[in-house]
Amino acid sequence: MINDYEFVNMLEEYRNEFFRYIYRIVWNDSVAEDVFSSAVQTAWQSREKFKPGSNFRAWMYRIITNKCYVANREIKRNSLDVDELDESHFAVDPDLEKRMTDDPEWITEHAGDELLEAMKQLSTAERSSLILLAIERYSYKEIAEILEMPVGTVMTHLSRGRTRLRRLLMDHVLNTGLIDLKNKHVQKHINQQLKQG
Amino acid sequence: MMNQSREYQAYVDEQLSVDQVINLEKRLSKEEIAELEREREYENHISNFINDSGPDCPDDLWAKLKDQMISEIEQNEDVPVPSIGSKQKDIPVVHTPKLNLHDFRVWAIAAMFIINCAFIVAFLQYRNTKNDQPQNLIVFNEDMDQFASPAEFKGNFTDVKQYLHNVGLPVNLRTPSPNMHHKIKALGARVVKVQEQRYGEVYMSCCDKPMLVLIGRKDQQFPNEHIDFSNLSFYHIDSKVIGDLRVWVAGPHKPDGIISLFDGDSI
Repeated sequence: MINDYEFVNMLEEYRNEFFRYIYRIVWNDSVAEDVFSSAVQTAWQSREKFKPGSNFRAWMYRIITNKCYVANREIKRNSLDVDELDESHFAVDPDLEKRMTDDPEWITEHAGDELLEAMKQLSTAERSSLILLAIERYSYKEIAEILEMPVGTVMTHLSRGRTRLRRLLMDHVLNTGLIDLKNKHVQKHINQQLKQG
Repeated sequence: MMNQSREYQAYVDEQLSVDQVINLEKRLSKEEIAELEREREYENHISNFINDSGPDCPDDLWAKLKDQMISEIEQNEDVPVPSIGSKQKDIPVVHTPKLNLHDFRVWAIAAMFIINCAFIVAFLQYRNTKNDQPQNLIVFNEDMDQFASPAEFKGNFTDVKQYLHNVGLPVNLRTPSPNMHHKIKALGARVVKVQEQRYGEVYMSCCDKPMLVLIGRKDQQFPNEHIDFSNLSFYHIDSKVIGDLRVWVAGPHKPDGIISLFDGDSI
């Protein structure tokens, strides 16, 4: 069994990482604090179940993610129906998509707030999968273990989450005329280059 | 067998093995590879943007939770001593025979009690002394086996990379190419604490010379005073910042070969 002080030290070491993860799943300061407190208390009460030498972060993420589901009032689904795997209704215009993805810095500079807003519209499973992969750098297999679902379902959540993010961003970019603005910006830059020589 | 879109997704997310990547890249045109690379850059950029958006854990919240846990530990550690004051009236009066101080058995029991107490005090002192000692006092030794022996975990580059990832030090450690000028080996790793600072310690060698690699937070210092370099007539040291982390490489060989294997772009 792990030493109690060591357990507290490990929690202290990762507290900011865990808190940021929770915040990105629940997107509310006070809810994030409640979930964090509840997760730490659950972990503390269950510390005898943690096996020394095993992956502490993954063990904690499992507890935290379950708390996030409760906080978001969502039911964790361990698999998706075959119909739901059809992503055609999330499809985006490939030409527009290319115009967006070819300059990600421009997008975050002009639509950063909308990107964060779009994150809030994803499901808990989609957000958790995306954050655990892209930010916490877990593998598909590890994410599947943390979220307690098959690897294929994790990949589906990732794919759908990304597609929905893009679609929401694209709607914003089109509705606000940002793409036209960007095209003008690019055109202006090209004209300047031509003038210079 | 993965379908094509899943395979592309795993490629973008760097979840394929080296063989799978080579196999896929053989089947793709240059334009398709460039398209997937662009996709990866886009996703990385979006991830970095989201990563910068979250707040840290509020200090007062953590302090409250920590206090609760520490006080629980301390309560459990305290030997319960019955109070003679206010609670005395609740204890039913039981007439016990008076101790006869001339009885040999009383003195024998007292002596055993004192000896036991002395053992407990000695044990606790030993344990505290042991805990206070730095855990990563490294003595550089030409004997590589001896050098590697303290490793909590033994393995090659891929295993070490995964180990570092699991212990919360997500740096990308690349496997050196066979054509690399320096012959670099990874032997194992462990996590150590020096003066309450946590470091990942990786045991590597470069051209058969033992090299020490430490990974810590960017703002941590190299714990020079806890590492014994006295076996070496001279040593090199260099460091590299990777995101929020810093990698130090020290030892009798130039560290540039090893340091070039670390980057933070991908895991």
